[in-house]
Amino acid sequence: MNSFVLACALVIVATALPRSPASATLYRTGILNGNFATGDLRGFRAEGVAGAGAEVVTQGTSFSGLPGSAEIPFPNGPGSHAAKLRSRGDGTPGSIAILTSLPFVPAGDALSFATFSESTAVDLEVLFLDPAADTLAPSAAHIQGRVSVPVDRTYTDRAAGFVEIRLPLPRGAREPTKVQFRQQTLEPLNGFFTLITNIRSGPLVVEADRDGDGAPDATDNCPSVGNGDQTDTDRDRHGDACDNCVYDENRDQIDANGDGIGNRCTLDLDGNGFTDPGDIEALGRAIGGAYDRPADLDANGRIDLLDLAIFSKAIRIGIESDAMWDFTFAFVGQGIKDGLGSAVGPGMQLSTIPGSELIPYPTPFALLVRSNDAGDPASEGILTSRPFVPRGPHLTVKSLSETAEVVATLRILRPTRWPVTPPPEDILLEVPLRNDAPGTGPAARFQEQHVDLSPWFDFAEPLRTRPIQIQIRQHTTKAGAGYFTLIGEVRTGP
Amino acid sequence: MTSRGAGMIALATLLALGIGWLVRPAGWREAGGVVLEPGRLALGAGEAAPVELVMRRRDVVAVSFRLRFDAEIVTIADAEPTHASVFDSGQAINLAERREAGLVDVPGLAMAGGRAFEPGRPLFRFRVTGRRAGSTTVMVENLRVVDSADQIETLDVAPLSIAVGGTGQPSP
Repeated sequence: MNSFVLACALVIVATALPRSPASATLYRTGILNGNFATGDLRGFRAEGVAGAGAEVVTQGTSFSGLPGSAEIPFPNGPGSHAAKLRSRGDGTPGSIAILTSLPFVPAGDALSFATFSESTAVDLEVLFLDPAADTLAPSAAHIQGRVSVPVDRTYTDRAAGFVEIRLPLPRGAREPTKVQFRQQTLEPLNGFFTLITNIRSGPLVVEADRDGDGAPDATDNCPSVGNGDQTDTDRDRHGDACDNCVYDENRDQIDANGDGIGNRCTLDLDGNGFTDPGDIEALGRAIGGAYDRPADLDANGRIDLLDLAIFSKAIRIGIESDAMWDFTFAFVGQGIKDGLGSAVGPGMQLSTIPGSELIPYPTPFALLVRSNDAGDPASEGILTSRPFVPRGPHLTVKSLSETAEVVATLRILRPTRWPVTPPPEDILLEVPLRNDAPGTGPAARFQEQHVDLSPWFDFAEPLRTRPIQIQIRQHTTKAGAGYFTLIGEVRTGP
Repeated sequence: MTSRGAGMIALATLLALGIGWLVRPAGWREAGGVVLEPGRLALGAGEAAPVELVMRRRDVVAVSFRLRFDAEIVTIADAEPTHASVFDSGQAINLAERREAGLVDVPGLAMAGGRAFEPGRPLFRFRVTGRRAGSTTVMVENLRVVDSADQIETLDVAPLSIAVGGTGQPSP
């Protein structure tokens, strides 16, 4: 009991002290047992959400249901150890394996570790936490930094290789921190493991950065093309700048015909340059017929219903809502300096100004775009539609801004790899979004605006119209508060 | 609460909603199958009745199946998907069906742009005509569905029982 009280008192003292070099003296310098040489999790805390967990495993032993795990070479040789994080593989949602170090004072400006995952369908995050942070669900205020670790090695045998990762510490040396690894399996019916060892803090060495964008190659989601913002719209770990399907998740990046367009978003199966009934005929012939490689969209060696499903998902003609789909599905939300774009529903309070929950929406859902909470004019909320072929030469947009102190613009883009900052050649048109009747509350009304798409619409053969994207950007003009703009309907037609 | 505090809460709500928005297709699937409606028919020779294949499962984005029947007792005509093609005014991709005696093969119907079939709505319709007296069934074989997570499943469908009586004009 006495030791418990003492421990509590130490924790209270530790958490109450301000962050300063003086507080650092409470903690050990460097990570204890980062290579798990003791054969156990000494110096770490293993936890799990929804059945996940962590344990120490040894090279040469079998620790997976899949064959080959006993052959995986560990960085420190035969008989050495690593921590194994594994989330559940029975479809349990939100299963997360968590491994957290004791608080320590870094011995340098960087954290390094070696890791290997059984599958690419694994999400591995590294969090740097304040010593007082809750380890299961740390609050944002206690998270010093978080990094998503690229996982692109898939072998489970002697061909497997650990990858060395080095990350700058968000608060540098001398500031105490806890390092936490969170591992999640992304496939609903499989559970995969991730191994981690040689966790060290040390001096920050200049990392290779081939494209010079400031993101070291080891963690750059597009190491060959400069993309300092690391935007990854479809969150498939391939940055937009070098993703062959920017708006459709395709972690495998398979591009069977080598045309630069990933199979997951291939829309021209007969090679005539357009998506039309000829492509449907080609796919129909291939299902149950002779093997036609361009139609094998999942690259599994046969052409079947799944290939049709993949092809169909990628086709987007028109953007208006229908019975089983609302237009907000067509958009992705992004932001600059904490601006945001998101879907919202009627009845939601969207602002500190009363009344937003009473605004009548023209459609079951709407899109919201706004700058950051402080209304920093440099902050922008961005909504970008996925590429689609318009149904006609007219675009109709209904919008409502909360106040007159916002500026929103509507852009027509040609399909771009840079949705956050499209290059000028990708911007076909930019017009201000109407804001002559701002307001909130039950009397607020969305205003309709029409945009002429004729210059880009093929009247002779509408299906041969090139896909476009619609983008809404909004910022507040006066610092002090961020105000919203709602987009209540988007449709194209004659 | 300060306005800044309230603003933070509003922002946090929006962010949570945004995350929900990103993952919203997940978890949509629920139990339910595909049925023929009606499930039983009594026809005279030469008499016809409409039949629909109805999807009752959520989150199905593509489907394929075969209709097998005894061509001596009934004929099937006007077999067609109920959703208009994305190249006309609709949002469906319909592969052309193939026909043999006693068989209609539907190699694929799908919804475009990330849509799913609407539960409770017919996805295929056809007309059954009695040819001569007897009892038979229309079987739905090898009905496979794909959901939004690209999972394929084969579903059983109760057959349509048909009794063709001797009344009416024999169908050619």
